[in-house]
Amino acid sequence: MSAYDALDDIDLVDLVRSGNHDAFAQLVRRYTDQFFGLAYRTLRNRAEAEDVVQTAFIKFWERPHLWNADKSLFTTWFYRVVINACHDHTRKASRTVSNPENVIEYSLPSVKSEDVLLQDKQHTMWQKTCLNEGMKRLPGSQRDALNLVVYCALPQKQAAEVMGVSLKALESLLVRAKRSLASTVSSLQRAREMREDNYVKQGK
Amino acid sequence: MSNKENRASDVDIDALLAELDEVSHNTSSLQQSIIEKTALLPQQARRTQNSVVLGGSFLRRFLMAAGCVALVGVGYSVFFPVTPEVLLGAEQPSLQELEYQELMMMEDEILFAQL
Repeated sequence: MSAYDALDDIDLVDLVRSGNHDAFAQLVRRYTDQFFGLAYRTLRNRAEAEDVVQTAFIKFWERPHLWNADKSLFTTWFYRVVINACHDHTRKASRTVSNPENVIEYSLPSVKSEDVLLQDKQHTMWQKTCLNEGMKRLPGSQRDALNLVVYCALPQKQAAEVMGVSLKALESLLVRAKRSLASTVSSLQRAREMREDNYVKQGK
Repeated sequence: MSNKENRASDVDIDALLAELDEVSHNTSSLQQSIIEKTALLPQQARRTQNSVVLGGSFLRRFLMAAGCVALVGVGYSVFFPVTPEVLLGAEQPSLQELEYQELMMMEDEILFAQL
């Protein structure tokens, strides 16, 4: 157990400001999982999420005074930094945008597969694919709200602070996000059922 | 309730989100990479110290701009000297006026000589 384990974020950041690299390493070990989780949920790409988190931590090491302890918690501020970095990354990335329907099509477990006994596993995979697709289709603010509250398990008040919105606005974003997600998942499931029905009819 | 909302209500999205929240990542290599990369990286000087002394970047830029203008003014005055008369707007006498003054002085001398 390191001597830094017992220190809280404020003490650690104070040490980082005085050039203490061990204190910085402690913060990295303490929070990388959380911040990477958010970046990964936002970008849906491991390598890109790693880049974003690494860049954010390096910038923090270079300019630790940017965080003001009087205004917010360290985690709140850093979540904000990571989200902004993810959005910048998305804007800059000149990705080839593929048709989401095609992505779904290719990632589907094939109905013609002989692996019929693994239907449960396929169903879970299918649900996961639908959910991921639904998340991708959400507007940025709704996706951020859902990621922060559901996946990062932040209290709603802190999530609202991270996003710079009121608590009411965050609740509204969550409701709309879930409604939209349910709608997408539902429509994809119906599309799949119709495809399976067509397959069965063709088989007959 | 519309068809769309009906379909949406078929899916328990909270349960789905909870059930599928199983993504876990091993970030130890990422942590190591961050720690190694920053080990030899210098920290930047705290910008707010300058801000306190000069009252922020705006004042600093304003002073720099004023300094540049003053330098240009000094340089201009070296190549194009400015006399006090020009600064005060005093007009220099024309050639005709000078000749007239000389003539008057000559007439005065003749007059004094006759006396």
